[in-house]
Amino acid sequence: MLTLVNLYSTWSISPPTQQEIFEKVLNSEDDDPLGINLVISYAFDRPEPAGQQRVNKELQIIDITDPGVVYRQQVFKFF
Amino acid sequence: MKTMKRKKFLERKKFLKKSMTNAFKKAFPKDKIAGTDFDAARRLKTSERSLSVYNYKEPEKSDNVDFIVDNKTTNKLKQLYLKIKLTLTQSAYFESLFPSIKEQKPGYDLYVFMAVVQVVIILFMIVFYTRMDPQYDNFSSEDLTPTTFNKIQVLAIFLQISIIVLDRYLYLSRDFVVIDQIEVEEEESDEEADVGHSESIGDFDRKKTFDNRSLSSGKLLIKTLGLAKKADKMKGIQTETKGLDEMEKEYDEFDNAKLISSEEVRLSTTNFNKTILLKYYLQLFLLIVIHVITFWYFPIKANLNIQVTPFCIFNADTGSQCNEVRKNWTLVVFYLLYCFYFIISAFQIRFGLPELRKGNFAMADTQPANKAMFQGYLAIPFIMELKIVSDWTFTKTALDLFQWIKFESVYADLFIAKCSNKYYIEHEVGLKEPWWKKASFGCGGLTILIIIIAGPLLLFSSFNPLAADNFVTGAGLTFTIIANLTEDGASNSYELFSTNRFQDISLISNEYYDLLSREMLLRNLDRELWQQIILARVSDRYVNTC
Repeated sequence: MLTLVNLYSTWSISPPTQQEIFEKVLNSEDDDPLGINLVISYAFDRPEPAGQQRVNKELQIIDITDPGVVYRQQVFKFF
Repeated sequence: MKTMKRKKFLERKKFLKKSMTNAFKKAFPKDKIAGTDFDAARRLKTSERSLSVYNYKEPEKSDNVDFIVDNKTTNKLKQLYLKIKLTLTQSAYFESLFPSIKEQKPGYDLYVFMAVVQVVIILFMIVFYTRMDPQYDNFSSEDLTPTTFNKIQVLAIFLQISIIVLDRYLYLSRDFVVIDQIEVEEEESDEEADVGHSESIGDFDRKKTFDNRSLSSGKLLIKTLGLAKKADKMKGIQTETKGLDEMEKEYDEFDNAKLISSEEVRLSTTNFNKTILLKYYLQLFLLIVIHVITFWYFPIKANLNIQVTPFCIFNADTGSQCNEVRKNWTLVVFYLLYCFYFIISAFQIRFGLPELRKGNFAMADTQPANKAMFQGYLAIPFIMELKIVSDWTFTKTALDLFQWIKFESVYADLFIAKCSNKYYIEHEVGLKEPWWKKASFGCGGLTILIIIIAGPLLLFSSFNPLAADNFVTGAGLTFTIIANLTEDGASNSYELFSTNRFQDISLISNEYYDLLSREMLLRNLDRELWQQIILARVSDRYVNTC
């Protein structure tokens, strides 16, 4: 289970761009055709096999404008 | 074979029988027939009978050498040359060594043993020549470049190979065609007399010739035993000679079916030719050369280098380096190897070569061992090619080299097929396969196939006792937001959070596992390997509190 609240984000983009994204997320409507997609990817390391010790996996992309997405309000709260 | 008129045939047959009877009556004194022990001779199988049975021909040429020399030419020099030539080629010794009746030397094929010993000698020379002919104090260019062979060593090896090639030539060029030519000439003379029948030499039937040859030797044998029988009767001994009459009858019937010429007995006659004489002189030459180089050349050459004297002076300083034969084991082994060669070669000269070659040494039989030997021989690089080219070079043949290669290839394939099919030929039709074959080839083969198919699964599973648990040693997490700009898919992607730092990695507790089980469907695979990772809450990169 992932909890996005109270994470300290990276956000290395410039403040105007940040603002634009904030507005875009906050002003988005349910079932927005453009969609706001959240991608969660994780990785883990292991000793074997020697040639591929790091494995990268990506979860299914979540469209937070979809009303069916659970915990999407937490995402909005994050913004 | 051409046929001839009945009348002529009967005349020839009558003449033949008369001449043979006269010849054998004169030429088979008791003391020359199997050591006068007729009973013992009869009890032996055909293949075991003494060759002396046929040893009835008295030397002729040697007695006439002086007569030939005196009457051939009046020039003294030519007479001397002729005498030397006749002495070197036609003496009583040669006539006894190379008798003119083929049956006196039926032949044993010892070439394989000769070739094997020669190859061993070559290998020995490659490895140990520098010890046989040591270079003690004369530095040469080879000493400075030890990766190269000594030039004298290479020369000696080439000479050794030349001897092998010469032996092969002598082995292949034995001239039994003389016999066939006699027969062809007879046919040609018959053709002249018998107009209406013509047959080219190209239609000459080699198998029939071979049969005739066997026939003539068989007739000789029967006649010999017949004489023995007569002698027994004269002695008053009544012995059983079962099958002799039947055999003679068989041969007579065979005669009726085939052409009988007055020269049939002569078909078994052959002259010792230049090649076998060459083999004899090669043997003499090698005997002299090998003894000279083993006992004189190598020791003296090395001793001169060490001690300035050709002989060994034994003292504390130089005794250990003396190259006398008894001090140098490589010379002893080299000499012994050549002695083996000389023995085999001498036996080959003594027994003569067989009329027909067996082919490859492994082709004597069709046992699995023969098949394995032959396939092993084929697998040796370039051996087959060497044999093919040398055989073609030294054999009278109408085939070109590529046809010969094809011929040898087909011959080899047929032999392997014959060996492989031996079991099927011997296997009774409809006979069930035995249980042990089912168990070994069937169950055993099935098990091996299953292991091959499923083995990798076992190998890469946790069943493999050598496999260690592959626990997670690190983890990372990244959040990215993608905001689509257009419906065509154009988007902006921004990383929100990224960390590769974990706070704790531990095996999952039963309580937490139960908790997870209630919330989601878990497959209880390798429960003991489940791990819980708690990642850092702070991004590894640029932090911007919201």
